[in-house]
Amino acid sequence: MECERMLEIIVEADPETLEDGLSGNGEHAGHLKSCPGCADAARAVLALNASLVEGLAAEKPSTPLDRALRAAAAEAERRGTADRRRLWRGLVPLAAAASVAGLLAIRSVGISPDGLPGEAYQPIEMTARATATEVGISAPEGTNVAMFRTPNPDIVVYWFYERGEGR
Amino acid sequence: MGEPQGGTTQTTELVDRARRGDETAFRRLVERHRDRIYRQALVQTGDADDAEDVTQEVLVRLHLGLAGFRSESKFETWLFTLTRNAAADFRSKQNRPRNLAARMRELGGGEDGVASDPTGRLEASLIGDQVRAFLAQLSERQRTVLDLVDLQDYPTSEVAQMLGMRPVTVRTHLMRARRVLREELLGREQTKGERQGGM
Repeated sequence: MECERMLEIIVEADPETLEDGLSGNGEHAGHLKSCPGCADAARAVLALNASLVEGLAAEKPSTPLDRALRAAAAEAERRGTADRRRLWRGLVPLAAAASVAGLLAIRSVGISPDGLPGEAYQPIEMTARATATEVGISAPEGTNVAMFRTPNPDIVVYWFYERGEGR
Repeated sequence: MGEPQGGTTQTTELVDRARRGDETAFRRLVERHRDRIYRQALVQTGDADDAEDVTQEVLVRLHLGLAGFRSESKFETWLFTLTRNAAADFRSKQNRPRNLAARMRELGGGEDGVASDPTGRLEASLIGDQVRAFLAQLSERQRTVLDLVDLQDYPTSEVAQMLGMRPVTVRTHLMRARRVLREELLGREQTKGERQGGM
C-alpha cells in the first residue's frame, strides 16, 4: 500500500483501527510496521485524540455547586411568578369574552323554537352590567381550573387550562 | 449512555424523588450531571464563560421542567436536549455569531491560530484553552459529534438519536471533523519534519 493511501485512511479512521494497526493487528498492520512515517502519523493522531479526551475531561464549571443551585432556584422562582402573572393577565380578557359569549348563548337558547332548556328557564336581556369588570375570577391553588362568576348568578364559566412545562 | 447500569438506575430514582420535590435528590442529580452539562455547553459554544452561563440556564430549566419530564425517555437524553436548546437560545440571544477562526487565534496563538508547536503541545497534554482552540477549527455540529463518538465513546446510532440525525449523517460529520483536525496536525508535523530535515 502506498503511503498516500495510508494517510487518507489515517485522517478518517476510528481510533481503534489505528490502535490495532500499530499493535500489529488488522489490515493496516503490515504497512504501519514497515513504514515509520505512516506509523508516526498514526501515533500523532492517537496522541491528539488522547489529549482531547484528557483536556475535555478536565474542564469543569467554576461556579461552586451550592451557589449555582441557590441561583438556579431563585431564578426558577422568579420566572415561575412571572409566568403566573402573565397567565392571569391573559385570562382577564378571556374571561370578558367568555362571559359575553355565555350571555349570548343563553339568549339564543331562550329564543330557540324547541323551547329548550325548559319553560322554567327565562332568557335574560343583555344589559350594560354584563361587562368584564364585574366578572369575579377565582382559581383554587393546586388545580388547573379557573372560575369566572358573572353578574348573573345563574352563569358561571369554568376555564380548564393545561399547566405549563416551564419553557 | 456512557454510565454504568447501576448509575442509571440511581439516576431514575433521583429523578423520581426530585420530581416529587425532594431537594436533596435534586442536588444529587445536579451534582452528578453538572460536569457533563458544562462539557456539552463548552463543546457547543466553544467558550468557557458562555458554557458557564448555559450550564446555569440548564439548572434553571431543570428546576422548571423536571416535573414535565416523561420517564419513558432516558433522563440523560432529555438533559442533552435541554442543554442543546439552552445553548442554542443563548447563542441567538447573544446575537453575536462567533468567528471561530478569530477565537482560535485569540486562544491558540501562532500565525494561523493553532499553537505553533504541535508536538510539544501534545506532550504537555492539551488542556483548557488549547483544547478549545483545537476544537474551534470545527463547526458546532462537528465538535458535538466528534466529542460524543471519538472522545466519549457513544455509539453512532445513539448519537444519531440524541441529535435527531440519521446515523449516516453523524458518520459524515465525524469524518469531516477528523479530517480537519488530523490534516491540520499532520500538515504541521510534516512541515516541522521538513524544517528539521533541511537543517
